Amino acid sequence: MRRHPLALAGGLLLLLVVGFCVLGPLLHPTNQTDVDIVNAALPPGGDHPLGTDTNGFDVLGRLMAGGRVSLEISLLAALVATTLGTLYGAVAGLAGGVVDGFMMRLVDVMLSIPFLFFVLILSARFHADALSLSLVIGGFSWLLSARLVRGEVLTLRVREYVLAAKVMGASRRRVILTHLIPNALGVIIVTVTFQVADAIIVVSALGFLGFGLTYPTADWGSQLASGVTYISADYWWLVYPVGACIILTVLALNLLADALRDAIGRPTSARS
Amino acid sequence: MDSQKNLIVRGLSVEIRRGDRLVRPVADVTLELGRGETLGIVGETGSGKSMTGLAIMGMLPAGGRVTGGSIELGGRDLLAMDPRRYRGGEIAMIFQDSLTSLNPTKKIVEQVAEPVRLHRGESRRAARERAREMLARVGVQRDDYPHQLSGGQRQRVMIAMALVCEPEVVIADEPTTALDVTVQAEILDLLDELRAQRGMSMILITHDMGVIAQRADRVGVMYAGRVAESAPTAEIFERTRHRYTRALLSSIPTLGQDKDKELFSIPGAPPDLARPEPGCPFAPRCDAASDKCREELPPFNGTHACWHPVDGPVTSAGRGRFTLSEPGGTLLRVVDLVREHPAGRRTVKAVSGISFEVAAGETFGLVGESGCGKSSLGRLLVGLDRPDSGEVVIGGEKVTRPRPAVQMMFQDCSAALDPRMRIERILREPLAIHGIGDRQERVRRLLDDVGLPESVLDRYPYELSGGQRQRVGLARALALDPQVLVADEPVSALDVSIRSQVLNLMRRVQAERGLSGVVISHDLAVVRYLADRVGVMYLGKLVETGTTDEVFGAAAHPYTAGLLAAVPEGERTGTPVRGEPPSPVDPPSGCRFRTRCALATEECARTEPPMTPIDGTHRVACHYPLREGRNG
Amino acid sequence: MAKYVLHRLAVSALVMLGISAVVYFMLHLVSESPGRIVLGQRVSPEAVAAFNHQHGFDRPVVVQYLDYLKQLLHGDLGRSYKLNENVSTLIAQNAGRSAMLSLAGLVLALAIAVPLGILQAVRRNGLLDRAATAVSYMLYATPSFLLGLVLIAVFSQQAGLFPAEASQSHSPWAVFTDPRGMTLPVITLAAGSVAVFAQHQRSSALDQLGQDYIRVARAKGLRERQILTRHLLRNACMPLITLVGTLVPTVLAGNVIVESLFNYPGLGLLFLNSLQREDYPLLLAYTLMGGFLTVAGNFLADVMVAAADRRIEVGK
Repeated sequence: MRRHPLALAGGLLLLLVVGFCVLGPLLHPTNQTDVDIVNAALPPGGDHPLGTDTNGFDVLGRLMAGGRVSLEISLLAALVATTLGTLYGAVAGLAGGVVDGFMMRLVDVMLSIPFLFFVLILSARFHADALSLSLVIGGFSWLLSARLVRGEVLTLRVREYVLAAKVMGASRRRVILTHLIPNALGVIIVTVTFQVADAIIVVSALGFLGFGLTYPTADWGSQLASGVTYISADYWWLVYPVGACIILTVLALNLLADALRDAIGRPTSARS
Repeated sequence: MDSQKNLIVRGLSVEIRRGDRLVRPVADVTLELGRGETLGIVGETGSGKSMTGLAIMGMLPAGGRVTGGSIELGGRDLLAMDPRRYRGGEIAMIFQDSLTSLNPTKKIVEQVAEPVRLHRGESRRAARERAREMLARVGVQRDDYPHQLSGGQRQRVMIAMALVCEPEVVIADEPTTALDVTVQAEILDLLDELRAQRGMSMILITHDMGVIAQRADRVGVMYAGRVAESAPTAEIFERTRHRYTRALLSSIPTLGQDKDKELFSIPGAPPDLARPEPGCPFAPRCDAASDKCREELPPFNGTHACWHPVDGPVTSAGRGRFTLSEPGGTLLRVVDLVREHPAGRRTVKAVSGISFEVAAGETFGLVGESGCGKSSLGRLLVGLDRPDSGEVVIGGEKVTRPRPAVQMMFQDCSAALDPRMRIERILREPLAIHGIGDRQERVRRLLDDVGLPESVLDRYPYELSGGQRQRVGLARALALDPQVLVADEPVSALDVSIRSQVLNLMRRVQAERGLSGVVISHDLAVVRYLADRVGVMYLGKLVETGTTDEVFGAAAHPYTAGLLAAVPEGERTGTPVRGEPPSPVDPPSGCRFRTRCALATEECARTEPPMTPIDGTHRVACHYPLREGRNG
Repeated sequence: MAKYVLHRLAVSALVMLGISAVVYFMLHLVSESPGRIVLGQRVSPEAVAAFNHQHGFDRPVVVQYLDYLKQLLHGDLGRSYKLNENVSTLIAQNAGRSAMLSLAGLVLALAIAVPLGILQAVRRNGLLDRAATAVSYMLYATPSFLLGLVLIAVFSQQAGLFPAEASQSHSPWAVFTDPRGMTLPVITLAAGSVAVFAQHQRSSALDQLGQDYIRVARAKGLRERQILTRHLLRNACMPLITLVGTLVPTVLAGNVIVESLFNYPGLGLLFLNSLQREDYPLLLAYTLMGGFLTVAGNFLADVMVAAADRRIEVGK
């Protein structure tokens, strides 16, 4: 970690965000269920450090609640995507030959389909809740992890240490469990991290386009989307705080993922 | 100023700063290069030999700078000049061939023409014309993309690129290391010829003492960034002064030495240049080191830097002798093995009908150039791959998949050990796979057998040195008590001074355990040292087999004779093999070697010569076998 | 080379076929009863069934798909449910404007990112590199609509330099005829790509700088600048070409967002409106078109790289 100050920064930032969303409501309890028209759109100050929104909800409290939703959706989406992608990629890479060719062509096909269009069509037709949204996003974004994991498996498969294990008589199962998975794990962890970040952006874009979560659940994306309507009314506190939250979280995740990517290359080469 | 000297380097020191690490790869180096002379600089990895070359070119890596000394070319101080004014024009450099040493997206004539336009200011057309001439001169009469050329041809292009502006000095940094021996000999001949023709001076940087012995007029031996010894070539070999030079020369297996004697080996590993110790850098590994050596740096007196110089010729060989056990009955039988790999729509005929036998306790050596199929054969032997036809039989049983009786030692020690496992787990793995108990005790015994301390157990592979990793590889291969050990290029990735340690160890372990071995290598001296019997492979076929003495002493196949003649060792005799091997996708009809053979006739193109005994166990597949010794 | 192009062409055709099948079946799952959408909620189930029967929507989905394929080959994308117009006409009306917007964004992004990435690699860990990397991280983490909003707030509402709405001209050439109106949309579109491209270009240039031929070029006595322009640039751009080829879906998604944010009448806006109108023939056609464009982008990129680097052909 000492060699990666950026990773450290990313990790700390992420901890901060998670702490803010999970522990924050304990320190700053707010009412996020009852509309309070009287206290709507108050500027920051007093009881409401970041003011209130047009429904009278405390913005700071809403950021915490929305952050939880956003993080949950993205984490679940990333896990779905990575699990699917890892399994698919590993099977293709291990099977090789015709099976691999067919499976990867299918990935090519799927990757060529503009995924946002599909998500939009789906969420316009079915009203999205957090679970379905993450399943949809995860169900579409596993393709890249599948490609990555397959590539990794293909290179690992012919490494000399894997051959050495085979010469010793190791079973296929053993080779996969003790050599392939631990060595591919780095790539997989990096993918998860990147995918969480990407999912946050996608969810917020959906929210902006009006096809995100439905009221009253509000993730950061839909909060930002509804704030946008009032940007010309100078309600800046409805836009910038939530925007900053999104940027910081995605930034933290990307920093962390990049640093992890650098780090997993290290033990394999003594010279660097 | 000495008018006979072209390039004079005095007291050159270089340091490289990377982050908070400061390394001094070159310290107080003094070298002189006479007009028309070849100066050899020899040393191991990290000895500073390449960095010296780069410093002369003004091409030190990022963070590097010259901290002292001078470099003069014909009386001008190069360090005071902008290196771009002499680089590529007056001093040129030839690098080791690699796949990326030429720009992949430009044709070669364009690349060779570039320095001409730059330094001579010639028109594009004139420059291309000049480049074409130069390429023809080095024997490449085509204009293609680099990937369409073979390694040898790429190296020729590199030479053309360096010499096209007729430099006064050319620095060749390991120009033939990546190439096969036969190609290496051709490239070195070409360099010599061009140098003599143009009256150029050359600095030849290499780790290969053989190349130096044949090609250099004077030699500088470098160790840990310093010149240990410098003298005319003959003197280095006949009147070695520095202890390191002597140890190094003694530890190299040669084609002429007594193979029953243990190789001399230098203990330990070269020092870490980031943490310089006082005294002679070689002292910790030197058997004559005194307190003075450890405390005071020996000055370089013009010929050597050693407090206790030796006098007299090098006595090659260590103290021990191997007691050879008589080989037993046949253990491993390889019968008509054929293996072809699909490559796109075509097939690579990697192994095309190979048969041989290995007796218990005996070591069989397989030699051949890269691409001859020797590694594919190795994979078949251990059951990693299955033959298309033919069989491998061990102790009466057919090998179809890996089995404990046949184990393998891999070439690249750093790639063959899982980077995520500690050494202990690596050594336990074979035991765990076969459910063998008492692992702790067995691992300890294995470590003892290969001479590693127990402290390595909780290290990761990348924390070990190359020699230590190769020992781990050997220990792992021995863990299952195999009857046959297959070793694919066991020492090729190691530094010269480490090789003899591993070679001695392999012989000792084999003798102790009565182990049979199959050693696969392109290095004739290594095979000769390790093997009792030898098979010479060419494009998927064995062309000659016999005892090591028979094959190396009285080579009967023109290919074997050519290989031996190409080895840069001592004087040059015989005719080396010309050109490069044809593709194994489309091997020549009849005798596969005929396209490179000086003796080939129409008969050779028509019928394939069968393996015929000539005397004793010596067999050869040639229509016109050589009768007497190497020359035929 | 011709062989390689033909091979890639055949693969592309197959992938397009695959895309058409996947997209068609998935959209069929989402909207199995066009009658209900076209006729509205108040009509009786019988009327809906009659409508579906009349237009063949009750046939097996495979038959409908093959039918649609046949239409496609004749350039017929079907008819909009809600707008009294052929889908192909609607798309043709808007395609030019969207294409120009995307192209302008792409060109701007490449024009900034290619030199920047190379410069970053050459002066690795210098001030410029660190600053550019930091900005890239920030841009990458910013949702494009948020960036657009900030730009509107700052340059339009505060400074009054540019209009908050994009040019409403029906001409595809608005980028040239109304540069003021198009500045903010193009910048918004380009910003995210700049971040991705520059970092990509930086790492590929770093890869190339570590190759031996750069050292050889230096040994020839070339100036650093000559090394960059004569040797590095071309080789370092190859991975970027491939990347741009695969990014068509991202570009199209960017268009949807930017067109919606700046109210720019293009395909993205048409898509969003059709989404609200549940106008499936249009959604289907545009999604398919996006897929085909992506395949075309990949194909073009592969052929370009293969033309510049002859090693590729051999590998296939």
